[in-house]
Amino acid sequence: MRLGAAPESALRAQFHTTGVRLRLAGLCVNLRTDVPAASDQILQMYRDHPLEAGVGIDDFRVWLSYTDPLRRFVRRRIQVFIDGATPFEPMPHRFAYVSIEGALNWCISATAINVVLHAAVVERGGLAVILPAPPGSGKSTLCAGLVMRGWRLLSDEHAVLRPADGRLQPVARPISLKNESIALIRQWAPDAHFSPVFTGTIRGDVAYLRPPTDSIARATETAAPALIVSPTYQAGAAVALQPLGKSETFRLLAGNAMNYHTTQRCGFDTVAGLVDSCAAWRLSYGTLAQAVDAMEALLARVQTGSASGRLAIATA
Amino acid sequence: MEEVAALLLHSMRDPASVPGLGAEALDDVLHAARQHALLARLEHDLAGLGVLQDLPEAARRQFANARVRANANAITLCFEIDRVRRALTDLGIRIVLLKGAAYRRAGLSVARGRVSVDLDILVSVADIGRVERTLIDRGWQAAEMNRYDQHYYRDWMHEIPPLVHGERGIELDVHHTIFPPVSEIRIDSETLLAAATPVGDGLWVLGPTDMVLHAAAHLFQENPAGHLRDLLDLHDLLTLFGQHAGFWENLIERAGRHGLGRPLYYGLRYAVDLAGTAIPAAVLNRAKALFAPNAVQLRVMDWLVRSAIVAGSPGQASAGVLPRFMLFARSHWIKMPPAVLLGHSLVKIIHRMRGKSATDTG
Repeated sequence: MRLGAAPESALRAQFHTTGVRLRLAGLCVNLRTDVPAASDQILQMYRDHPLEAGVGIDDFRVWLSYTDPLRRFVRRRIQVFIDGATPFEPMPHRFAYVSIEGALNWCISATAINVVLHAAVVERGGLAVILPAPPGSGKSTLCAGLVMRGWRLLSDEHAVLRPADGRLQPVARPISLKNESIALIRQWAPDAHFSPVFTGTIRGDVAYLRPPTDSIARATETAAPALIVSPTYQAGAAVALQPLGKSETFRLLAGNAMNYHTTQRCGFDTVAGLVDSCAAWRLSYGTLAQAVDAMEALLARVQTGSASGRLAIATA
Repeated sequence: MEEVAALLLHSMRDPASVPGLGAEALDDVLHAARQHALLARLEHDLAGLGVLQDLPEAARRQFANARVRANANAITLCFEIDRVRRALTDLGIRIVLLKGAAYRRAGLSVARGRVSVDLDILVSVADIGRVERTLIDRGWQAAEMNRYDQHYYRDWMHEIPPLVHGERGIELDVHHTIFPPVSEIRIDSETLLAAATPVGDGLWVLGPTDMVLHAAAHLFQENPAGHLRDLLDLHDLLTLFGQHAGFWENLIERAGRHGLGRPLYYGLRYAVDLAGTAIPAAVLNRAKALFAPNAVQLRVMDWLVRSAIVAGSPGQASAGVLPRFMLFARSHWIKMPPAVLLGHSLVKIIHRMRGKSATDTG
């Protein structure tokens, strides 16, 4: 059953007691909170996610609460616990939902059985595109832009690679948009559902975009990586695609990996296998529409070229 | 003891019982094991028994994850030990590894699945200045600290303020003894260094009795609440060294000499009581006669340790809140003379109210 289909009052009670269990990237995360600002947003943003049965084995238990009883009423501050540990400093109450998203990021990055890269992943026609880039390069914006034009969202933050077969495991969580991107994507997709804007976080203004229901429904469907595209936004720039060398691509991916050091040899082999099997490009763009068109054209070339797609692009 | 706490303890003592647990109990044990950083140790024991495959897929996935993370932690720790060794090699002094680093380098079974978040070493008190300067020369940095916290470490503690290498995250704690000199317990670093055991590459670990006394003091002179892992460390050390001829006699004699008789007695008592450690009755009786508190104090301590050594789950109603607070207060009471403690508490309360206390000096 979807979260949105369950009776709301029962779910609210469940947040206080046994917790609401979400399945993400093959993990089961138990979310418990007595902060309504957090549970209300979870219910909105994860409306289309499947609700796991009440009893089962959790990979992580997340608990979000007020820092102390007084802080429930005055100068409210909240603290998130993951399996009893507190990886983050307490935050003002208005960032309750931001903390939940931060805790979920932490859980996904803390898993070491898959190789987790810092990159967005989208898919169309069975071909997954990995978008690695440092923060501020427009990775999430481009990801949101594509997803709102019919691409499937795997993740705006984590490329989760299975070492056994090199396939990508979807995470399909709300897309986090920062600062100018928020207004841009609102204009791009006026019918989409956004969280409120959280102003004054360490990353500036943050808002979350609910992923399309189709991406969530297909969240157990893994995808084969076909392309690596590193986006760079530059105001006023013309759209341009440049091929990326293998070693540069490797550095870009491994250097931004969440658990590259933890996964050791397996991390190296998995990233090396990925770089060997995919063509890689740097995409510079000045407007979102340009970038989306360029991505669609690039993918079309891979599709029509079928097996020789890599060669066709490399010589284009 | 609460139900989940008892379940975790039982699972650690008898891993063969884990595959027989129902889904709900297994979920609780796994959560508690994650909370106490015991998942990788449990995985190691379950793998040794050949029963991992009898567990549900979701549990196996977690255990696999814990194993990868613990292996990576062991590699990081060994690398960091080697960096410290290289940095200090020109000084030509004895570098004694403590706790997790010692267990790992000495190849003791207690290191299995053990995750260390910092690296602890001990050097002679006479060398501490040279060691600190050399490490800072070679890229380690002192954490930013206010004057009060500096004073706390420099004048009262058994270690200098923690160091962190500029390019790597792991914290390095340099000790000159194993218990804070601000307490009445003063343990001469030379005595510890003289009894140390070499482990190769110019590195040393504490001798067996000192290693056990350090583990016991760390647990029972400080706050044992939530530190089940440290009690299991003690259990493993006692089980291993207890087979050596003369170990128990030396242990009791050494504890008396260091002034660590009381924490040793607690260590032996709760290792038997909670971890099921095999300790000869004569040793327990002798330790009791020499070091035990009066019967009332002992009853109180029994209640405190049994209700708090396994942490409660945050946000769940727990009977352990009072015992945990009492153990916290007790650890300070033991560590500091009353006048110092009063001053320290006032400073901490003021810092907390101003929201400035970034350090966790207790």
